[in-house]
Amino acid sequence: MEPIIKMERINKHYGDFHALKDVDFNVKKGEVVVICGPSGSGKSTLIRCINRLEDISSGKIVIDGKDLYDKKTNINKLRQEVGMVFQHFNLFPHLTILENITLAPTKVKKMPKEDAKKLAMELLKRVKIPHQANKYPGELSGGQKQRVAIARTLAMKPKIILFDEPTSALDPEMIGEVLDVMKELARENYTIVCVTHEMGFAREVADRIVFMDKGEIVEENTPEEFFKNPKTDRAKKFLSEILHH
Amino acid sequence: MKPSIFKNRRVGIILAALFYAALGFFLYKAASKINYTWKWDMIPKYFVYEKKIPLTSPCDGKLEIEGNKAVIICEDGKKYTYSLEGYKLEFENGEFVYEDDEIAYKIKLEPGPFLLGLWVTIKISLISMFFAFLIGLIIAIMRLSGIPAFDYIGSVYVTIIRGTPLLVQLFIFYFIVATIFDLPRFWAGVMSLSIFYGAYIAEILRGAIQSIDKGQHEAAKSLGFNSFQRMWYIILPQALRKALPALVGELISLIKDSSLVSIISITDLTKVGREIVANTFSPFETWLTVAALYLMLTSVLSFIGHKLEKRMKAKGGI
Repeated sequence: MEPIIKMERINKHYGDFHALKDVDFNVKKGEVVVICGPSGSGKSTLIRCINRLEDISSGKIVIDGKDLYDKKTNINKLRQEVGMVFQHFNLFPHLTILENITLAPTKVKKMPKEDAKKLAMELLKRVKIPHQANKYPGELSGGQKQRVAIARTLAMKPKIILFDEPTSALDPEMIGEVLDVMKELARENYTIVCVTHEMGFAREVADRIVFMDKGEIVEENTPEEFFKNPKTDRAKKFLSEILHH
Repeated sequence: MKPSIFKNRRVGIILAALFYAALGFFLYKAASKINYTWKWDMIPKYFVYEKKIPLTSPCDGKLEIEGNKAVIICEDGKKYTYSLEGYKLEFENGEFVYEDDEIAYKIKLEPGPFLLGLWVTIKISLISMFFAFLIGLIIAIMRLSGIPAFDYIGSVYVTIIRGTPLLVQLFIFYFIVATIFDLPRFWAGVMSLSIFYGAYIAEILRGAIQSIDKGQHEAAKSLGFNSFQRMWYIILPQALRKALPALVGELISLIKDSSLVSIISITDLTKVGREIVANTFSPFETWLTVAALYLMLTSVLSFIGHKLEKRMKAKGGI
């Protein structure tokens, strides 16, 4: 089967800094991939290239059969199918929770307001905060904000969801509630690429773990194999550091 | 230890009031020294005055009063009927009237020069605010468009406008632009105020738009919004809230600077002030009144600004 995300020989430079070095990365439809690695390893950069929040310096990206850098590809259209959840939530602070979720479906997809509202309420129930619909993001806790951000992404009915360190900015007691929602999504049909340090989550739901260091993919394996016998020294070192803290 | 009495708010208010009362008294005394005669009683009639509207006879003839109507039977037999509703009669029934005699009159309240001038100032300020905001918004977006030509067009405009005096710009618009394009002076005034304040508003909006977190752009992009939608639904609403206090400040300045248009003979509040001084030789009362009227306008605006800010604070805190 043709992979839904296909990245070939990706290079990315920030000035003199070589952030991604000839990276090849593919994800099959319905696959849940966790990317981990030390900070500065290029994992966030990689995931942000998938929906063109970052432009690559060279290489080729094909998402769901469409070349990201083809002139005929409408990037805004493509982004509707690739949802993203951010470390800092990035909710729209001037809109209520309900409006945060309905804005994109009504304005981008031209969904009727009533339908969008119904959809938003269903999604809020799903992320277990239906009673906050008329509050503003500023009134919510971090965990609640992130769950709203997930609902906002789901409202566009994306095929792929990208998580960029979704729990890194949360207080420890709120991480669980967000991971629970993510686990549910992982068990459904979504294709998920997640940058995270939550190894428990990775072990439980990932089909594959990708370990990156210094702009390269160093190791790829199933969670069991990766945690039991990491092949490279760099992965061993990373795991020993992250699991002992 | 008891806090110092000077830290008390109420004491502060009283002291400040005393300070200004003393200042006012000093001014009053100084004015008396130069034998200035205060004539505050002449001010009200420049706000509203009673206009006498006469009813005159069209011919020589006889006046007959029939209930609420005056009928004039001219010598050539023609009959004219007038309603006397609201009129005060000056002749009696059956009296002989000559042509142009004032049969009756009524009093109508008319807005005086202060009110007319105030209205011109309000009109010119509101129209200029609208265009200044529009120009500011367009220039701010041009400068942030990432298209160098637009950026340069915007920055040259801002540099020229902010680097020259408003009064000189006003003369240029009046004597050059308005002459070439045959514009009425009112619109020359509106144009120069709009273009002047457009430059300042552009810079305020540019700063506010730039201050919006990068994450907001990214979240909007990731949801599939195009660049116009991102600006319109997500970035601008937040930027406007941030810029509101500074924007209100500029609009207040605009109202005040609209007094400069009196120089090109637009009969605004300031021009009216000059005319009244010329008529009455009472500059003290006139200019104090003019100042109070401007203060009233600017206070209304800052009050509205305050209310808006409060309402936005209640809505999500930005």
